[in-house]
Amino acid sequence: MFRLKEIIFSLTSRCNLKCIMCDIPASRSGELPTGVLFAALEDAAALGASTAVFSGGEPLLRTDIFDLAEFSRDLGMSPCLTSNGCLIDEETAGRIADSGVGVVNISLEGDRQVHERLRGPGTYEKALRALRLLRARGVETTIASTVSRYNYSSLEHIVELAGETGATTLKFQPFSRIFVSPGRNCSEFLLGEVEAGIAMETLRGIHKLCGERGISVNPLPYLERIPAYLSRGIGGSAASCRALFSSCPVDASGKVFPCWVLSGKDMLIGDISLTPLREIWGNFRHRDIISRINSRSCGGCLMSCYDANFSRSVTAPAAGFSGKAVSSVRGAALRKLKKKIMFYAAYRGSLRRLLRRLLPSPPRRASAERSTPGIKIAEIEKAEEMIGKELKRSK
Amino acid sequence: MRIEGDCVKEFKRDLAYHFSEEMNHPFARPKWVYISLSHKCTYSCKMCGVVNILKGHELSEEIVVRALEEIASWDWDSTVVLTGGEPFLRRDIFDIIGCAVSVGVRAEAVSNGSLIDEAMAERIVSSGLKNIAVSLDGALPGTHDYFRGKGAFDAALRAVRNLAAVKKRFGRGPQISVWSTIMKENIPELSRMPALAVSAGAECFVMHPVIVAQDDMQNTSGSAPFWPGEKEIGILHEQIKLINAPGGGCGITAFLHDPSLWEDYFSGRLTRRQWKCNPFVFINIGPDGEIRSCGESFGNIKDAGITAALFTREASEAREKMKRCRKPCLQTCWAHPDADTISGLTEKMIASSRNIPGRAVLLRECLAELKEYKTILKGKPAYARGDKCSD
Repeated sequence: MFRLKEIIFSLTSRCNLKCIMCDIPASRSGELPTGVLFAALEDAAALGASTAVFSGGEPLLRTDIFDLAEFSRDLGMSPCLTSNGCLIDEETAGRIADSGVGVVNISLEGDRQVHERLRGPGTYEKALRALRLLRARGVETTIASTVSRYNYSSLEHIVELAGETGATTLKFQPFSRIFVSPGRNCSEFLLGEVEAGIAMETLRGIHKLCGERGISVNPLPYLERIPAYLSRGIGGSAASCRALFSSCPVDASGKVFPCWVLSGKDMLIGDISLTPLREIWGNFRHRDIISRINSRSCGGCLMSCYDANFSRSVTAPAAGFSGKAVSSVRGAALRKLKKKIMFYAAYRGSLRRLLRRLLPSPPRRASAERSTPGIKIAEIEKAEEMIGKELKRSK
Repeated sequence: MRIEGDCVKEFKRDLAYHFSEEMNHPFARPKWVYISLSHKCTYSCKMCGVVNILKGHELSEEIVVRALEEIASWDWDSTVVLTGGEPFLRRDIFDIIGCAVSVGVRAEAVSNGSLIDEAMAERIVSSGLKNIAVSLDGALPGTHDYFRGKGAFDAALRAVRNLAAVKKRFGRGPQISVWSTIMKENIPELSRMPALAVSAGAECFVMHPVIVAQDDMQNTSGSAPFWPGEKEIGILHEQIKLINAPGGGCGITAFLHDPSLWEDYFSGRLTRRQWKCNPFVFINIGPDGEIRSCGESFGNIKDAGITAALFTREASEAREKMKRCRKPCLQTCWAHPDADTISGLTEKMIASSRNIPGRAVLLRECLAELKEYKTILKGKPAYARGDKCSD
């Protein structure tokens, strides 16, 4: 159930920019010492994580960022950096390449006018320079964009930039309240109905354009949800969110939450400055919070971690249960499929409940009388098979 | 840091517990051995029946030493918890602890703290105990003293302070724990206890719900004294929330299990699905030498020793009775729920062995272990192949 794939550190709340859609630097939370982060990385690697994401604030403001990247690379994880690009000059780009960073996410919001309005004067050129420098040193780059009212119409420009600077991936993510301080009026970032329509067309166009040019981009169903999210607040649901079980966000002061959106006080799973990560991940509080989220469902979000699991968890059932698929199957198979659709519709709120209904329940075993040696032997054989498979794989 | 092969050892142990329970045959050895050294106690607490039930009994040093040697011979990482009455009333308590340390058994002790002055604290800290637990049943003096007698609250806190001070001075020593029994009267104070324990110098704070009568473990009717009613269960819910809140546990609160089970336990809704007890995990040796897992005694250490008692027909019958028990009681004899299925155990082992060099050898070792159980299961009579674990 809890297979850690990705650990995300918000290394610092400090930042060299003052973007208007982000209040993180104002929170001024403390920073973790390098030793604690090393220990957490070690634990994450032992738990099976394959990616370590360093984000911020601006992670390059930390002096130990390259040590952290190198350490996670040596542990067999792929380090990934999220930056605004302004601090990446030739020397830094070289150090990033040397420390084994696999991917660098550079934020870019649109054309020069839009970008500098959101992030401050001079930032556009610096971000482009960072993209080019990194590309020249063979580091894979991703352009990350926050879709909002400010830039919904100038997003196509980013595709051009990606082609020009050699970025391999575009990541769009709607503006989210979690980056601004609570209580702030966010209406300046949200879309009206007409604007949502335009944004929808733009995003569809971008998806097509990227397909033609060989640039990878978020899946279309995800992009199509962004306008609705920004105009009416309809997000994804917790039931289709695998990020809850596979990614582990750690904030600048070391607190671990089930996800960035659910980072309220009652959602705290643990604190890596007090408890090792291996004891936090999957502990009963974590399980309890996840079950609470699943039973009551979260408000929904369209964060990029959600997107990472989007194509598998949201589009897959929809494709499997499309009208065409049903009509082409006859008889018993059709009935079975219909049943599945009914279950899916009834249990959409909770993936766990759905799974419980779909999967055959394990045989009840209350006392010794019920389980015979035969059943036990079958169980053992199943376990042997599992180990055998694992043996083959490790060869 | 995980030691190579640790996960395999754990897997083998979990398998042993699983099959022991499944076949009612002791492939496994107890993880916890509670030895009640004496019936004597400095207090006569309202919720404890030991003083009256076991009056006049005390284990001789020779018998305890024999038991410790036997436990060491299992090679099973068992933990011996020395309790009483009040174990520090015994003059030979430090000889017993010394013996446990020298034979290589992990020893812990539980005390009410009344006898732990500075000199005693020095002896405890340097004795080689791994954990010393002091009972504290309330955050206010009145509550604790109501259960245990006047002055008990101050004595318990003084004991923790003395131990912490000496440990700091020596730079080493046992983990200093505070154990608290959850009862009707102290439920409103629970959330204040971690802070109190921290301020006294404790490093671990553990709570466990009350069992009503020691002589009849299944008597958990709502009318029993100390048993919380509906209103108190509501308060307990709030208190658990407070303790679970950031900083609420002060970083020292450890849970033996999910605390939300307490509410179900007290309201009588706890089922065997939520709580699975394994009779092989825990045994208790009384001051009279009687050995029990839960409920009925099935042997005496004065006769043939612990291992022999585990194999008797009485032991088997007592375990059958435990299996049929429908009132789970949230005590130490708990087997973790993922030990429920073999495939669950295997999955856990596979996941935790990932990234260990030389993994194939370890996996093959696990396969061999599974195969052995298969032969035992296939053999007839089903589990009459003798003790798999004896050396």
